[in-house]
Amino acid sequence: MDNKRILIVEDDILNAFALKMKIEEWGYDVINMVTGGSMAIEESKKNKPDLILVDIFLNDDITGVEAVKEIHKSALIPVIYITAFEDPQTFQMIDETEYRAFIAKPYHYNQVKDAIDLIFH
Amino acid sequence: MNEFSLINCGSAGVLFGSMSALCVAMSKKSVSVHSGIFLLICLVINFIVAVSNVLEHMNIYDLIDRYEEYFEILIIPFFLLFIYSLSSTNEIERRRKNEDRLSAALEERSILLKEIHHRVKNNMQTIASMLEIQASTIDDPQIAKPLRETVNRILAMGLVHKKLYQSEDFSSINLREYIESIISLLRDFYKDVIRDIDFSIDIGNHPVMDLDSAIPLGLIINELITNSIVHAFQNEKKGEIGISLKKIDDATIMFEVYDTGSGLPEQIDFDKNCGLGLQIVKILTLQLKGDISIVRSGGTLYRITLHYCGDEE
Repeated sequence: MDNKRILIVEDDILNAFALKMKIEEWGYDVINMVTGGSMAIEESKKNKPDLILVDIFLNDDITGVEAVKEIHKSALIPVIYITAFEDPQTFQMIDETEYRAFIAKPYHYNQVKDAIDLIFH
Repeated sequence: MNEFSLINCGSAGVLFGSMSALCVAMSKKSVSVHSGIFLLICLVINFIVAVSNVLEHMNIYDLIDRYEEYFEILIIPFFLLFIYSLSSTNEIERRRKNEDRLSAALEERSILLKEIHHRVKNNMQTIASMLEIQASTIDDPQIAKPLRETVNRILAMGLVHKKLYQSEDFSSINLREYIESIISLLRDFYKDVIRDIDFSIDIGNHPVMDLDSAIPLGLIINELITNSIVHAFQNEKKGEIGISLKKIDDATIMFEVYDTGSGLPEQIDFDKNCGLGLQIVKILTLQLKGDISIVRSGGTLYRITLHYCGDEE
């Protein structure tokens, strides 16, 4: 079976690294870890991942939500938002996009695994 | 025309000019309507008196001469009213500015607090991530277990910040929601171990709790429920884990965590020798200035009495 390919968009590189380790442990491939919105758009267009895990505030001017909007213009890749922001404005923002799950930090890796498994199985 | 009427003529002209200037200022809203009207009335009265004087001293039949005295009397109360109106307008303006400044400061405080909670949550995630990476490199699950239990402790603390962040109150959290989320976290973590365990929560009137008490209490709940999940149902297939919180009086609440499992082994003496989890519970109970006791009958019941001074919703 071809492994599902996942893109991690997270500005905290340590969190991204831990996520990558766990995701690979669960039998999925992580195609890349990027820290900015523009890189997320570029990487998604180039490598077409099966799923994107995306934080909302990144290290460039493009937020995760804006990046997802841009990516979805060309391909409707499933998205899981992972962020520490849980206020109504954030929910209003993400509701403008299509996403499969929302995970609030600090999260347990089981939550992430369940959300990913739900998408692929 | 004598000197007196000339002076009056001059003042009438000046007053008329002032009235026109005032009207222009009022139409441009650079003078407030209330004090403008009072000032206008003062000027009109003076103008009428001046005109009346001019007419009188030019020996022209004076129609308004008869009323001149009234106007002269009116000028004083109207002038006082004008001063009052001016000062109250200034006061209103001053209060409005204060209010604006206060609401801006409040808004800033709320943004700052959100930012702090956001950073705290991000940092907790980083700490949990580091422990998780470390645990992943250990092949022996028994050695990795304490690291993962610590991750749960951090996440239980993180839940306080999540709940505070969601409550938009920033000073206290809803205990029911907090306890429910800790249980859901543990159920999720131990889903391979939990077979047929029911969880029950009985927390009366939705008490709210301040941050200083909520974090230790959350950690206590985390330890006790973890203990029950991991140790109490090793022989039994079915069981129940429950949390109840009762208000004894205004300053005391009784908090109980129980399970219907096999019971705490007799060799574990809560006062002398117990595992790290129960030691944490004892220390945190001390921190909360509470007392803890264990009842061993048909399972285990931990009873914690807290001297609590929170509010009820």
